[in-house]
Amino acid sequence: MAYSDAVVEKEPVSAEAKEKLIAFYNEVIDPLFVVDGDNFVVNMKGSFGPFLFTIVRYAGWAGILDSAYMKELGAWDGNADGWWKWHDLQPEESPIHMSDAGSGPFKVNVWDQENQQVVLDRFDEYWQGPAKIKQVILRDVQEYSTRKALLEAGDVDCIAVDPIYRGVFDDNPDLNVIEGFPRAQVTSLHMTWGVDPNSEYLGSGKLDGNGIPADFFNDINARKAILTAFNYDALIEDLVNGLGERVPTDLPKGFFGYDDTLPMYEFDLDAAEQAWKEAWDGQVWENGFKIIAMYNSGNEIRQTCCEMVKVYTESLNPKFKVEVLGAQWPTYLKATREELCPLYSIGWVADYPDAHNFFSTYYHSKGYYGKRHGGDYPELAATLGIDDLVTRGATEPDPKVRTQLYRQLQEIVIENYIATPLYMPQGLYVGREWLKGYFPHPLRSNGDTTPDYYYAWKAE
Amino acid sequence: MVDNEEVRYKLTAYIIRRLLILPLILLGVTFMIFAMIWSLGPERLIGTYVKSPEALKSESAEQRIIEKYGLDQPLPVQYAKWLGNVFQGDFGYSNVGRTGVREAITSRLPYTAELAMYSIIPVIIVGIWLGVIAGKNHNRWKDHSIRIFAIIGWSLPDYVFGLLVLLVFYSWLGWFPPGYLSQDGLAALRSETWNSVTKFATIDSIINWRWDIFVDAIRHLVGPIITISYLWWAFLLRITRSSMLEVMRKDYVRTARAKGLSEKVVINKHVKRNAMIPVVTVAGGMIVQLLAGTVIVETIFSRPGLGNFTAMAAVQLDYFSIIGSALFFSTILIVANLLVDISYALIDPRIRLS
Repeated sequence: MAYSDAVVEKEPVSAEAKEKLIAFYNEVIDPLFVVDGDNFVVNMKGSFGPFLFTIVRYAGWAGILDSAYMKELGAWDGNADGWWKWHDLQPEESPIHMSDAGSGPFKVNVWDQENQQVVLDRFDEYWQGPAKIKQVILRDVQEYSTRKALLEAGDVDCIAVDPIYRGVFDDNPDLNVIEGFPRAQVTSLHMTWGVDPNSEYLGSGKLDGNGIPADFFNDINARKAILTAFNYDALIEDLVNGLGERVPTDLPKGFFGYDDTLPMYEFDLDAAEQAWKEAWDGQVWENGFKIIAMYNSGNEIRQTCCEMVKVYTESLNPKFKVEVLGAQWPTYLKATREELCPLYSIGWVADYPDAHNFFSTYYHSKGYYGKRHGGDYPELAATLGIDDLVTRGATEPDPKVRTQLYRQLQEIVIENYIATPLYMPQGLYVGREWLKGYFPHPLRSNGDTTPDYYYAWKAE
Repeated sequence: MVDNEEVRYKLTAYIIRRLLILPLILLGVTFMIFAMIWSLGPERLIGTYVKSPEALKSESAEQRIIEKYGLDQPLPVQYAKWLGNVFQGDFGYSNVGRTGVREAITSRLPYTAELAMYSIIPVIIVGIWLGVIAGKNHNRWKDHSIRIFAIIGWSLPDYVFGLLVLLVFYSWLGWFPPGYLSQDGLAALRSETWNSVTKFATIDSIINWRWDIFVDAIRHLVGPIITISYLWWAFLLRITRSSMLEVMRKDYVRTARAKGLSEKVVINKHVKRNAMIPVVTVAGGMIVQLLAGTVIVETIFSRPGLGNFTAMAAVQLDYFSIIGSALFFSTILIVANLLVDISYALIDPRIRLS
């Protein structure tokens, strides 16, 4: 029984719907998990290497919680009848929303919503031994200048610093600056192959110089032209102050499957011009177009990426028009999710340290970004074997075979201009010299701005 | 001769009339904001409840959120539902505050009110004082100096001046740090022994006999107060100066001088009181604006408060927080205007009689 078959309504009113939900629990959910004394056994349907990481350490996508404590808080009572009441809740609906539970080295002492700070106290009975630091205070200080002043005065130990401020702290002997370490994320361009024909972002919907057809990016030449008319080096050098690195596909360097022998798109305006001339049997070059490049307002890096597309594309032909559009978060969310916008800047931060997290997201036709291509993409992904390679890559236990599968997959997505990476961001840590024990971790939340509290200590 | 009873009756009737209009104005304001947000459509309003695209990974998530919050219902239905909840004291859930909107606003109000209270005193006293000096010394060096001082204050954006204050008084001199209190101060406030009566750190610290926290609270207040004061002085002293100059040209002032009254008496008894009428209006508005939250000042000095809360709610399109804040600010504005009008009547007998 599939989840969608069982969960028809969240609060079942009919006996039949309720029965279905109970049956779903008994047949599908319950057999997956077995509690055997102190052991918790998960019966997986197939092999999936990154599974363990999703429930421990830095990912935190699922957690094993103390059932007695959860029941005490009013969470799920453990019975099949009614399990759905506690499933997929909005934050305010969850009885554990403002509670904490765990077995880590620190426990929440204060969550001060008004002063926007969290105070963590050391948990002395932590199984690996107590941390060196007794208390950690996390403060949400929105304004960069205020954060900088607090750090320089020594009132805070480390702060988050945007790449544009790289170099500001270099001459301060009291500060420790570590930079250029990898982050498990990529920033990319997204081209929608099949835009909703009713979209307000299509313009005229024709190749008449005032818009684009809904299936504009079905043509490989249109994709190639956009990707070769982008100055990747300028983006890295000037926009993020060198705190970035090029990658051949939408997979960060260092991940299994990353292959630096793969070719990267070149910034080549002649090639772009040629591609535009060939796109849509020459109609694009002849008639021109007007396209919207969207970013979420406030994200300056994405905004500049869109502006770079505009500058270089418009330089090729006076009939080419790229309109850069900043959208508020809800508008951006709708436009990108519902295939309304033909071109926009996106990014992905790893959920777990495995290539599958990126390949399935970007390239599988049912992946989070993959499905947003629409148009001919699902058919092409099947024909070229992309979906199959992504699925096989995830479950293949032999590293050699898996490497080959991923190499093959990446060759296909590069060759067909499906891969659209702009750069892979790098980290910048700025902290007081007295704060010791920092080491970069690409996956840890805030791993570029704060140490892992368990390993940190303060020098005398 | 007008009967005092009649004056009192007229004033009372006026106040009652204004109080009766109050709910209508509030309804109008909330409906307008509600309509503006509603016009975004259910698909966009999902962004209110979803903070990252990952939250919409499941196919049914979007539709479920729309149904749960009734985002696809017609405007009158949604508004009536919200209004019904408001009458029961439920203003909705604040995603920014992670609690009910009412609780989020009331818990942040004391922070802003404390800052406003301490800011308004120097703003009014010094602003009026400087305005009076400038008016009295029209086109002399004192007037010119004060006007230059005002022009600088008026032209400086608050985020620039706030950062300057932070740089000079915190980064260089180390006197006035940002934030609400030091970590030790906050820890004391959170302790079980702390007796929180007013939620004003300055007053509660006196009640608790904790002078160290009193000093700590003052140190954290001075930077924002300097920033707010300078920017508002510029405004208030200009109003006072203009008003003084206008009144000083009136016939009754000339008559007072012709009667041989000393300049001090003329200024204090005849000019100042009449010149204060427009100043009172402006000062009333200033109190409202300070209570409505000084967004930039609270952000730069990293202080909790209503301004900070409302700004974050607006950025995150936190539907209920925005409407709740609007309702709160409208109430304050209307009540403050009423108080200003009453004080008008008390200052100026002509208004009282009409």
